[in-house]
Amino acid sequence: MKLSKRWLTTLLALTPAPALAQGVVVAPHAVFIDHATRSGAINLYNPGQDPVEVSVSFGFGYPTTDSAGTIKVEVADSAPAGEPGNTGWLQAFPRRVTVGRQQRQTIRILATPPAGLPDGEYWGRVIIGASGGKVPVAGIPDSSDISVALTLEVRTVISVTYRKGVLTTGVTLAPLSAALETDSVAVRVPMTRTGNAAYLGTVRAEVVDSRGKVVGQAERYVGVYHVLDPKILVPVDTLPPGTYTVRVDISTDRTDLPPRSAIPASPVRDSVQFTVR
Amino acid sequence: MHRARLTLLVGLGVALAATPGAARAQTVVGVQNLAFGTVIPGVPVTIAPTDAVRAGQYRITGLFLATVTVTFTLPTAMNRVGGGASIPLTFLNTSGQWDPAVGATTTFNPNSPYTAFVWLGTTLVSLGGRASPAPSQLGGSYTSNIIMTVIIN
Repeated sequence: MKLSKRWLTTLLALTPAPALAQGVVVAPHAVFIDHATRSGAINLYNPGQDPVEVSVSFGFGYPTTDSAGTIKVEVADSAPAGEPGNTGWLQAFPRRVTVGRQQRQTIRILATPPAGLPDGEYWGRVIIGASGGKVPVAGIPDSSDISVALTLEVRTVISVTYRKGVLTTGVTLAPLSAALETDSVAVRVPMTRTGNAAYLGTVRAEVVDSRGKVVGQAERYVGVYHVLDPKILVPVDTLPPGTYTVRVDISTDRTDLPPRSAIPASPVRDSVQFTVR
Repeated sequence: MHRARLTLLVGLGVALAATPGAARAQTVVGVQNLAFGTVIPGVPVTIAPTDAVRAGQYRITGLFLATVTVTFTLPTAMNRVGGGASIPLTFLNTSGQWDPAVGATTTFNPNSPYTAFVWLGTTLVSLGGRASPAPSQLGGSYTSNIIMTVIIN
């Protein structure tokens, strides 16, 4: 059977965009490099059926909160003046690589810090870009029909931390606040870091009624690099009128990170009351 | 929150918490291109992020109790393969959709960073948009590239 260009174009255009699975598995999701070894590794795995081109670069950024308590990270090419950035002296090997289908690849990160680097922690972000083989765009270039499609690329950004010397961390808490928001209790937890290293921890919040019964719980991993004032939403069922207490516990317990990655610090606890009318 | 959801969360959370941190991995993949298909000169085409067949789709997996910020590098036009023409492309305030395994599906503006909390499981991020071919648009295939950046806070 011979298909005309127009029929072929129509047929291709009606075909759904194919499943691409265009990207790679990245592990771990935070890299820690110490001054003794000066190297780290990221493992990649391509679960797809097509090769994936991977690029590795560096940037600078850490979590901050906006006025609404939303945590966000803005990644810049380099660290602003006064910030302990490491992006200028980290290198990735290889920086570009094609990971074959269902293949693994290790990316080595080597640090060459400047001589006389003071003790402390130095922050950055690894940007892992992945793009797959191009999917044919429906249509024929010289056809009179117009076909349109956009291909997708992905970038995964994870933290890379360089540590030298004796490091300490901790947080101090400003007064908590809490209020009922529809089906959740919104708790603001304003934290200021102490010491010379980022505070990587977990905030746990629970809502307790006047009889001491826990009516809602939530937890959130946090990284306090300077200050952070996140809004933690604690889901609750409908709360009868009354006075409730929110108890907040902040610790350096981080099960998502490699062992000993979070620098230990004493837990911090506080509570606040709010009223439902 | 609703007891069944809480029970599910606790169960999955316990399983994930038992996984050593060093073994955690996350995946961000593009699973479906944003495809406008064949368009008619002079007739704009808008694809909603809810369009399961034509919307672009990304999948984020492997995160647990994490806050992520998603940004898009969006083209303003698609270029003709072989050159000679382009089609303007716009992304609307509701062209992005965040569909987590746990929690409500929300729409967002992909022209600005979007930050969300991921309890666990797979999150599907969908992207629509609008192509506006001119009445005298030259025939052919037009394409461009969209980059989604996922920053794990």
